[in-house]
Amino acid sequence: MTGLNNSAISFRNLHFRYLETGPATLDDLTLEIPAGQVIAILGPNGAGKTTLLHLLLGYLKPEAGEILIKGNPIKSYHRSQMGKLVGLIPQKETHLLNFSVLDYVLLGRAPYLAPLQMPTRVDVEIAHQALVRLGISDLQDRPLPELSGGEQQIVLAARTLAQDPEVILMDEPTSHLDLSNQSTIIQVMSDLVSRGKTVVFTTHDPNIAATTADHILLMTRGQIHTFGETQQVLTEANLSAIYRTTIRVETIGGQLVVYMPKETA
Amino acid sequence: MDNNNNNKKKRILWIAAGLIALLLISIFVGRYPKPYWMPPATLLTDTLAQKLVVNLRLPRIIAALLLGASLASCGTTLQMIFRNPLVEPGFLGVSQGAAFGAAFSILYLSRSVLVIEISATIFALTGLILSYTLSRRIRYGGWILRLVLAGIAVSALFSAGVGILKYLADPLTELPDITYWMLGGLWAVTWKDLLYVLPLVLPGLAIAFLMRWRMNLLSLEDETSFSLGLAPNRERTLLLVAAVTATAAVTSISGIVGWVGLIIPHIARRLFGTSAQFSLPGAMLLGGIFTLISDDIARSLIAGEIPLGILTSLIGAFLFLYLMTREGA
Repeated sequence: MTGLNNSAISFRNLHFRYLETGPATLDDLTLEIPAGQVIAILGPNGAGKTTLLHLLLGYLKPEAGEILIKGNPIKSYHRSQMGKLVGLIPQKETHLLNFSVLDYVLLGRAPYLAPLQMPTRVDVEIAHQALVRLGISDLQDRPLPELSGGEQQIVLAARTLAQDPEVILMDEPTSHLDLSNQSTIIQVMSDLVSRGKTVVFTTHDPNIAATTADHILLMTRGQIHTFGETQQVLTEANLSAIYRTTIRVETIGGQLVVYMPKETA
Repeated sequence: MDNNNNNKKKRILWIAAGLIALLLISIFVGRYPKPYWMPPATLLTDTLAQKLVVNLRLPRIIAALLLGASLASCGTTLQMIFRNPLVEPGFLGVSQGAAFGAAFSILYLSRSVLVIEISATIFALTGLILSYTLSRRIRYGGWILRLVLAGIAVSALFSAGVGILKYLADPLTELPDITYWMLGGLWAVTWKDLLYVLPLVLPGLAIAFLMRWRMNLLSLEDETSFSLGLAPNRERTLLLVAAVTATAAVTSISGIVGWVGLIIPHIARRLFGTSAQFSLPGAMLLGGIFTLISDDIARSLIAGEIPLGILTSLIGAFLFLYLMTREGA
């Protein structure tokens, strides 16, 4: 049982499939994810990355096996406790109603409020501070649908900051963002980790993983290909194997850079 | 934001004060002893005026307030939960379902208010469930469009059902009952009717009111509201059943009164913003005011009674066009 306290999340022989007779989306996954780090889940389309996030959230139930957060199975947590433990920044929210940015970010306070309780002055201040931290407090009275896609993504991140969970899940957090907004999200990740939080995010971009992650989980077809420290996982052999094409990894200015050589593209 | 909230609270209080003033005025609006206005002093001397106010006007005024508040609250709830600013009870098979239930009861069960009420509620819920289920199966268009299409189809089904019931009804006794009920109106409301519908209407309104901030969370995508610690399906079901039950119950004494559930939530959102924390109580008050004014006109404008449903549709449709052709939502 030692070492368990260091792992934020444990997967124990996790099996999952969407259709009872369909193929396994996750096949016997076992893994310990350390606390206080940034973990990137990298893998081709259909590898089961988003499924894994939804299982972690408790939104999907595994067919077999279990998930532990801070040493306890997620089944043992009450719904509002889960809201304080795990937060999700989805890829994007569709069907946006005309909420003002501040009202929307305030929704992150839900796990701290009883079902019939209204948000307090303190909650409003926390939501406001989340916007300040992300540098978008000037947008707080604007209707959400009027913002650009990138700004909306940052607002989703602000809502999760207001929620202040232990584990923050991000589903492709940088895929729709320009470089400036990408850098905001990357700063959010390191800010969270410096406050002892655990960040787990999925991505298609090995370079974002290289820049931000302490550990990388390489997945392919519902199984773990490799899990380990970023430098050890991001190798030409590993990446070429899971993406089935030639991939080069070089170190430029002390940083790993992943690219496809011209002749194979 | 705090300032902002205080302003919204003040606005709510002003509207509430307006509603109370309107309530007092409504007592003296009518066609006795002469058209349009009864001088308040009459109440002190004229016993017929006293009986008229206590037995006819008061229950009717309260019914109008409950009707407007329920329709507006139901409209807000449906619009939030289905993330769709264009839904209202009449668009989702709720009103037509209630109409079918009421006609069915008049014809085959009983004409007592209680039985009509229960039958209307059951068929209204059936209408909502059918619309929702159908919309998930339609393979055309986005979510808003599919829901509206399914609602139109289900409403049409129930309308056809009402048509059949009318055809089968006894033209001298049952048919007039059904027809008047369908036109919508509060002329026959008694204290006893109110007593029957209050146990369904008040809890329905109270649940929506108490859960008004929570309602915002239920308008988010499923996995998002789940990630914020909610049990979205259970809580959505509770709110929907509460909203539809209140509407169906009050509809069983009023008949079909359209447009309130669509137009009032829109106006409330313009005044109070999208968050239901303020827009829901705002909508309840405005719904009460709108319906009470409409009913005052319905019972006093001409010597005969103008069906309330016709008035609210007329005013509501014009308001809707006006709001839709202006900018913002």
